[in-house]
Amino acid sequence: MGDHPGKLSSNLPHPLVLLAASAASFVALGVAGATADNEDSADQLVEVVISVGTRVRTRTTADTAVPVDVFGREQMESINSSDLVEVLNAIVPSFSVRREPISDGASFIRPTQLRGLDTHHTLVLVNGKRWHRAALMRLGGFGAHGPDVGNIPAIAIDSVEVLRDGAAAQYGSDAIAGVINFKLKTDASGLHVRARLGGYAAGDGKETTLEAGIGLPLGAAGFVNVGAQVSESAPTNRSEPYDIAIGSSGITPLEATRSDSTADGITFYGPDAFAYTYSSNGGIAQVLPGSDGIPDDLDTRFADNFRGIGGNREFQSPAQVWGQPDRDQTNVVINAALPLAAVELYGFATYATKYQTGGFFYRRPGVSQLLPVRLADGSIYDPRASLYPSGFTPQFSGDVADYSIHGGVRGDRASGLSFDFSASQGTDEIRYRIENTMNPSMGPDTPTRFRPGSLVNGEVALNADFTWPWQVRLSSPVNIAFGMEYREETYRIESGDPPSYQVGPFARRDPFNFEITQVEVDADPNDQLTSIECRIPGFESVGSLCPAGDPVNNTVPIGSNGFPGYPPAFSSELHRQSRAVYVDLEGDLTLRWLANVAVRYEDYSDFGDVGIWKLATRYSLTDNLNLRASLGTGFRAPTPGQLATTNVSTRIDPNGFPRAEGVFPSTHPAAALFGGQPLDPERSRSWTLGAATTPFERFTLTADIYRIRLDERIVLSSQFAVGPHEATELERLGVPGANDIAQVRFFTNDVQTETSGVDLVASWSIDSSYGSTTLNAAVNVNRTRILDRGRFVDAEAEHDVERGVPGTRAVVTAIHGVGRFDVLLRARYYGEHRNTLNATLETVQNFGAEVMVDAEVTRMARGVLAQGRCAERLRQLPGSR
Amino acid sequence: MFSLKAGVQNVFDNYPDPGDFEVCCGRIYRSDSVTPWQGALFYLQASWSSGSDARRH
Repeated sequence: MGDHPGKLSSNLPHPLVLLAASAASFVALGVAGATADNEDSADQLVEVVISVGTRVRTRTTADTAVPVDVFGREQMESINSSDLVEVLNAIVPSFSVRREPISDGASFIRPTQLRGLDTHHTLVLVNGKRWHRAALMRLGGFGAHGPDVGNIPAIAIDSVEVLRDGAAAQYGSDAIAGVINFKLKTDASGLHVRARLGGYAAGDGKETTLEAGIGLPLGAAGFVNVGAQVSESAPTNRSEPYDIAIGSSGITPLEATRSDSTADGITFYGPDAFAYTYSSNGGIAQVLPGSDGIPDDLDTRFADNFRGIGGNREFQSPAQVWGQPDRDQTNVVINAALPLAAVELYGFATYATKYQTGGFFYRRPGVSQLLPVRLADGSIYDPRASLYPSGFTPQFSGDVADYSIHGGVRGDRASGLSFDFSASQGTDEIRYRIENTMNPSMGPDTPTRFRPGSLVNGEVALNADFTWPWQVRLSSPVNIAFGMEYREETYRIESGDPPSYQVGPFARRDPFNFEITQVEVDADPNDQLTSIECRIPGFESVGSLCPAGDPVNNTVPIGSNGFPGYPPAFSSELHRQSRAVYVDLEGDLTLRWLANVAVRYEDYSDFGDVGIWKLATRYSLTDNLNLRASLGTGFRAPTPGQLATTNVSTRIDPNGFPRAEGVFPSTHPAAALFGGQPLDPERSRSWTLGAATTPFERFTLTADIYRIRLDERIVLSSQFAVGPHEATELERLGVPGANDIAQVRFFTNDVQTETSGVDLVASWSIDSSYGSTTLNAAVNVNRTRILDRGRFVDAEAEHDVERGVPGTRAVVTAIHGVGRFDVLLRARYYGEHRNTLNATLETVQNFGAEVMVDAEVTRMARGVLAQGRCAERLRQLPGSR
Repeated sequence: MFSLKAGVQNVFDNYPDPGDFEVCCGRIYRSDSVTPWQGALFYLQASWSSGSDARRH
């Protein structure tokens, strides 16, 4: 990766020099003199009032002490996705999201990042109120537990504010990388209907979205605004045919491909195009090129050796799919406010349901789940003969139900004191389903559909916030904001249906004791067991043990395969309360100098108290050049999910065999075996230094550098292999399926990281006889270094955290309006990054930079004056300063 | 006001580099990358809103 440490510093001089140069040569719109008069500012530059990062209600993007980007309706509408996460990913360079199929619940609630930190390091607000977390925990990477902004419908949103600065001293836990505030529409009239249809060039992933929004008056001066969205998106498939080297046979499909199976220029692969013949003990006797039994496979020259590959379902090629899941989603938001005589009542509610399904790893017939076993009557039960002749691919679903309700009363007293009392409640639940699988340990009694359990995250908050303008002898009153907060957080793991976690008889070798071993003979001289014997009905060789390859020796895994259910022993509920008080002062020390001080104290029921602070300042060097800086501390409490989560999932080892991997609470005995301890909060120290300039009319440029240091960062530990000694210990502790657990992981305060970077944002609008054009560019250079790691994180994790994501992201957008048409061109840049195979760091792959170009044409039914449109668009573009 | 919109995301159908390892079982692209790996997306949108264009949606 070219993003070596030197790059950061070598980048710095350019924007600063540019800023200084441009500031010297232009005199234009006064940045520092910007008023709060947002409504009249359409002809001037973007002076959008912001409501995040400051407690002053009239602060604008132009005069804030901290970097805030504002994205309006039009920006959001220029990305075709019913998933708001996807929209932010495309327009906010410092925001990113991954697409992780076959990754348990993370396929459904996607992990997001701001400034390269985890989902939970960004506080998400809706209308300035804390938005609850999703139930799902991401258990890949370092692990993450944050909100699912995909539950908010885009049509209900007026604008999105992205504060690119730590603000835990203002908002409390989590606001370490920044804050994203969604402002809901407040229109009291108007109806808006939108229908969208999209699909990938690859021919799949068709997405249909219907959205409607309506604004209605409420009382004399109030409003009710409702936005709703219904969307369906079909799955995508970006896989090649399944191909894996199969160790036990000596013949791999790949070798077969190379040697003899290329005919007519067609190459055949793995289970998708190969026919396997299995011996009775599960080994592969023969691999032949042939059709796979997939109904829509074009190659039918060979008879299908297996009926219904993939199991008992309509199969979509190939056997294993890497792509987007199937998703059906419904989102509704209601936002309302009603001014009364002295106060205003306000509130909003959100509701979302999401049904998503995706496939897991394909299980070929030779794997341990499908081994034959002997039933009580001595007969052989072979699931390959009756249930899944050609293996199976579990289908995993997550059904999300998410709702929240927020309400409050606010007003101003004659003394100048403003108050805002509010209460909120939010709940997110994910209910899992898994189909087309089996609980192998139950033998012939296994169902093929399971409900392996649910996760529920609930949060309640009570807030009292006050502001008061303190009339002192400064150039403006000092805004004194203070308030308190009480929060309750709950995390619940609900157990699955019994077959999803049941330990069936076939989890153990010889469950019906057909084989009398020497140990049993020796155990009690007075019993009837006097000689070693194989007593399988019809088996004649008395006086010897059962043959080595007999199914009586087989043991098969426990639980709904792919995602074993949460047993009652692992279902739990965790409660936590916290209280906070804060004071936040902001005022102009001189005409040119703004300063802000915030302190906050929080007390948690489970780990004690935390005090944090922040200083921020802005100095107007000239009328069109602002310098700004902030410095502060922050913290993030371990989420109840991180404290409580227990999860055992199946991964595929290099030989193609699924192995169970367990994540346990850090205080669980299984984690304690490897050194797990109670979790402490993470603590951060960060600074930002930046400049905003308007060197000439209709052009703004901002540059900010930042550094965020995180101590005691909570990460998911590396995997610890469970050896025979540990397995015995786990069994003694009563951990179900102890013998199948290959790896143990847990959350731990184990890493110290430093994230540093640069954000550049520029916007420019030009009116000419050819129409009106706006240009916008945003660049984020970001690098995380691990300063120190304990013994729980290995070199591979360190490498991939430092190098595994693009160090540079950029988005350049141009919109040109002429006549009835708007044309948008956008280039998205994803910098290079690396991945390493293992902790030896010997094998490293470099991924080159990619540029994705977007184009869009809009035709208005009636012509709109280009001038007015440009002004409106300016307001919609990132008002970043 | 009525408007129609047509667009393409990722016009050149650009995909990231295929992974060299940890890509068994049909996987081509590293799904833990933030670089999108779904290819070009085409879309159409019809939008209608009542009232004046003062706050065009």
